[in-house]
Amino acid sequence: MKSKSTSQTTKGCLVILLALTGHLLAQTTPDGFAIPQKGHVFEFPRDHGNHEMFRTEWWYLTGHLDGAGGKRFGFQVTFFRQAARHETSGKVSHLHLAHAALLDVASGRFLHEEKLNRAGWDAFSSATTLDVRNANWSLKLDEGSKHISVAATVKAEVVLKLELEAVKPLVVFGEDGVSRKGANESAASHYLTFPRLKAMGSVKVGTQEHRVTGEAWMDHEFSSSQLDEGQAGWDWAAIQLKDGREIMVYRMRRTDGSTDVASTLTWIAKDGTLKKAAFDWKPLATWKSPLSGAVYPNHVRIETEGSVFELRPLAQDQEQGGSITGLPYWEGACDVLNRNGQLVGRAFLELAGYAGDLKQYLRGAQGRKKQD
Amino acid sequence: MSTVCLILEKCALRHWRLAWRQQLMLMLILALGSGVYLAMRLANRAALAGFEQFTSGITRQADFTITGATGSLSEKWLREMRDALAERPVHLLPVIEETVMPFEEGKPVAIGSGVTWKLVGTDFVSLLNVRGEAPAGLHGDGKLAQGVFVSAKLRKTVGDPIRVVMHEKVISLQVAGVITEQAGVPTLPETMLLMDLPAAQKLMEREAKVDRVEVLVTHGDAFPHLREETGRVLDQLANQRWQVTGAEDRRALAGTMTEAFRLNLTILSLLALFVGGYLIFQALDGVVIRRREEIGVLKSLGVTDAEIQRAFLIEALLLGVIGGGLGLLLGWLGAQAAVSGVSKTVNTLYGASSVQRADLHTGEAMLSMSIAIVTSLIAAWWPAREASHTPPVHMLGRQAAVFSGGGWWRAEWLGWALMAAALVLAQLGAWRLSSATRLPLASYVAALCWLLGTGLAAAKWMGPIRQIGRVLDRVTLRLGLSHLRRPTVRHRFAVAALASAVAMTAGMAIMVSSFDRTMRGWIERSMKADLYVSSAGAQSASSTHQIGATTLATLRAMPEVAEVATLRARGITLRGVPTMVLGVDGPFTRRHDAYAWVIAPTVPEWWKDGGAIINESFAERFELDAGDDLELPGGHRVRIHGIQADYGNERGAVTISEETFREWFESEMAWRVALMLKPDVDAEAVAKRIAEGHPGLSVFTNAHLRREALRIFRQTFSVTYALEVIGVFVAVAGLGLALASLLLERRADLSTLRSLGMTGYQIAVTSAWEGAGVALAGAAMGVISGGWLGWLLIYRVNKQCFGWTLGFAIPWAQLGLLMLAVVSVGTLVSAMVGKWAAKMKWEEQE
Repeated sequence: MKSKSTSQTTKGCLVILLALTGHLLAQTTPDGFAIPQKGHVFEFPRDHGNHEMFRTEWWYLTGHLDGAGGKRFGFQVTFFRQAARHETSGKVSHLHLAHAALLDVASGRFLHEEKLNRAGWDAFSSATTLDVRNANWSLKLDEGSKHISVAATVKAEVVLKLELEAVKPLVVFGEDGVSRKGANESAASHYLTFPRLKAMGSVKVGTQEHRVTGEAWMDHEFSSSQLDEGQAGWDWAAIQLKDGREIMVYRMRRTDGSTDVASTLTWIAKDGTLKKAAFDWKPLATWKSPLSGAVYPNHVRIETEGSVFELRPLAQDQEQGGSITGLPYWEGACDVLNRNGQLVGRAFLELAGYAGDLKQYLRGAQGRKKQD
Repeated sequence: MSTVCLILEKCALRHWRLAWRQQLMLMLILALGSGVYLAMRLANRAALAGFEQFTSGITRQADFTITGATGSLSEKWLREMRDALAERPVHLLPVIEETVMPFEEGKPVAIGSGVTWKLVGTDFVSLLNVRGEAPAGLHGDGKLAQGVFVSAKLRKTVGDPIRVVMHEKVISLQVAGVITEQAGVPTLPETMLLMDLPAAQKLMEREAKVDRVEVLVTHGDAFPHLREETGRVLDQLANQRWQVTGAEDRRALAGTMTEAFRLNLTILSLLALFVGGYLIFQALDGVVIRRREEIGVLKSLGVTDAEIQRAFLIEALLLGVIGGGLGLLLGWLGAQAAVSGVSKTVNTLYGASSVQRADLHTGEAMLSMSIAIVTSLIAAWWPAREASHTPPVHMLGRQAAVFSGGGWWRAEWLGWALMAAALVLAQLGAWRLSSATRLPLASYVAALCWLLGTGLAAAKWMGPIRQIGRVLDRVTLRLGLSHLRRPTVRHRFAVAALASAVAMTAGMAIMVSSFDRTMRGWIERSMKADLYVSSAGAQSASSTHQIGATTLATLRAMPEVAEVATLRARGITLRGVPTMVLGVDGPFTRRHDAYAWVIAPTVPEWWKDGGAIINESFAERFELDAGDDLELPGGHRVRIHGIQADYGNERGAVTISEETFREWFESEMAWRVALMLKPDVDAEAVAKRIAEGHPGLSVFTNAHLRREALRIFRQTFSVTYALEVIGVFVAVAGLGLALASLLLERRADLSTLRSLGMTGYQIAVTSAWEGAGVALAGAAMGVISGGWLGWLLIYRVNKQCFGWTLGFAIPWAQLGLLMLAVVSVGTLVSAMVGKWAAKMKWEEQE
């Protein structure tokens, strides 16, 4: 009797285990990284920290700054984490990539730098809160004041130090916490954003230090596959309108040049509520990079719900060179004009996948090669 | 000026053509003097370049290097450094390294003769951030197990296996990539193997540890300020855990490490040149004598004294230029030959160095040329003045010349005064540089004064030697020695040159002999174990090769082994200079009476309760004595109980108990292991068995290790011996030249003697006796003077430089042989000169 009971218990356990395994398998990529799941309950500050079960994660800060005497800057400070599983040992290791850039609007001078470090003493991201570091660049949340500090340099020419304060609450894009990027279930991310942060601090260019104020946008996104099969890259824009609303829009581009159905535009109302809307993305002009040779459609018109927004770049050359990754992309500050040509806001436009093999990079091939 | 040119063309160049052999010899002497100096300089620089190559082979010259105060740096500390530096654009590049030795199956390597490579682990990902400042080509086949990147100069291709000894293990590596030269980045030396940091840490079994951090401050407008700020921040944070050194400090440190060695060589080559100066003077003096009639004619024709003097000086200048040019070639060739030897010596004594090509820099070429030209001009000054000041009637008269100049060479009292000054100078202490290096400057000046004084006073001996002629009633002997009754300046000069050269040689011989005897005594006392085991790669005092705990346990478990004692070692930087901490089994050293004490410890169990002993070099370098308390890096404090004699290294060492050592450095590895075998066990057989079981270990029997220690010691002095031989050779050649000049002067006398029936043989014998007298006076003075010079070298120079106490030992047989050789060769050369003079016709000029 006893033995029968034991046998039944064992069988039961096996069934449960198999079911669990099946479920777990469905939630991971073939190489064992997590796939974003609907219904995820975000907890903060924990979810400002890293999610190492996902292959790719980034904390993406862009913004516009104004100084005395009409001085104007566009800036970007981005921290990436890229995981790779060693083919033989199965051990997961992490690389931390970071980009910083500053556009001096008046002179059109665009300064940028890329850093790459192994996870460890010189590059890390906290698992419990927003605390990311890559060499001398950092992004950190002060739990008490709820302020976010960012510090970055561009070579020895620029020192950027800002204090950021959210003036609108954090938003989570996508359906039930999952932002889809393609038809495949794994082509999705958890996408959290501070759509409007008040910025205060200093920008030092050479020996000249400028006190600045402005507005910033911060994305925190993690996934294990940002690009689906047949996709070549994306165009993304974060628009901050003067009337207190924002728009986040991304156009997933397919290799044949068409727009993937997973492309999305989301309005963020003054009170932070989100609303998806159909949109039309039309390039108005292109710029060819003399360095990478890539042709970027960096002047665009976005039409949605009867509104027209023209994103006009504040400088043509705002290409991040990809000196280490070999993956250049265009990430630039733009003015936003309405159909009458009136200035209605400011934006940041990102054009990725116009040079290099973005898909291969995101799959970790590059990272794995470097780590091995 | 045209008159000068005419004199040069008609007289100087004509004589050069007629006596081309002599001119060639003069040029060769100059070439030899400046060449030896240059060769030493170049070879040294090339050997020292190895130190720099090892630190700067990965990136551009780092602005700072951070090294652990007591060994490794924890990666946790690196994060602290980054936090403290905040947003400052500073790149921190961690480096881990071990010395390795290329391994070939079945080829045992003698200590000090093996090649030392370095396996350097650094973060290849981090290096990508300093692109353009780091080696390109680190993207080789990353999938290769134990993959290393090598210099293209090693002529390896990807996939090639490389076997090396690291610690006591033989490790198989694979070439993962080949680094080619890149503009602006130091070339990777062929003795450096690069490995990605995590793989290197794993291989070296030192995960989360690094040996140093190269700090690169980003260049820009604010660089000087930023660099200063970075250094300050890192320094303030250190809290005795690490040291921050700037690039210039490291260069200075590399220089400091071999300062005494380099200085000794330079001074020795300069002393050789000093003796060479005598010879050049004698040769140019001979030139004046041979051309005196011509000079008389020119003067009668109205050529002024100034023009004659100028012509001689220009001739000397020409000689200097040609000799200096030949010296460059000779020096460069010599350096290529010497670099490997010097490098090996530097490697054995001071640590990892790599053999570099001895390149010639413009500055050094100019210096070498200047040495030849200045020596030639100084040596020609007095003969040129003689030629111009002597009245034409004396020049044209073919009788013995009356010397008006060189008065101070006759002043024997000056010689004694200089020697007295040397005695006073020898009492002064060393000049201490900020880097704890001692420079026995006063002692070197004393040596120079002593040598000069010896030269001046040596003529005193010619008087007593002349008395021999009275004892033996032979015409040739009496005639030959009669010239020493009133020695001419040339006699005095020849004696001076010989005395100086012999004194130098004798002094060095005494020092080497004293060293040899002291070393033997020390070896006898300190090497009592039956077998000595170390890593086969342990080729120098600073080698990082050690023996792991597992191997130690295996050795302990051997049935033939009665007792095992380990010596643990760790390099530290104390007061900015490198030194060592040793860990020993205290009871073992006491049981076997392993130390030769300079100051015996007052506490028998000196290793207990934070006790330590230091060796003499350490005491001398850091001015410490028994009873003093010593603060060591890492906040450790010890009480010095005794000072031991140790001739193993000149960097100094503080010795603590092995328990304390393990606690401080958290390491179970041993540097050297001594095995005491059970009675009646065949040491050779056990050594063979250990070596077979552990191909990465070197096992020496007691006798073998003693032989090796003495061999290395003698190898260190090989350069010195070569220079001494040159000095004696030059002095004997000088004697020949001086006699040739004297006989030329005495042409008329010789002719009269021939007319009176004296045969050529008799003239040759007369000359031989004269030469023998001079040689004997020089050699006797030289040997006696060398005795004090030996004392100076042992008790002052050596003590102040290295801090070693040596017993005084005189190699009587060697000194006797030296005297015999100098007198015999001097006599022979003089006889040959006499034979040549006997054949000379009265009216002959050359």
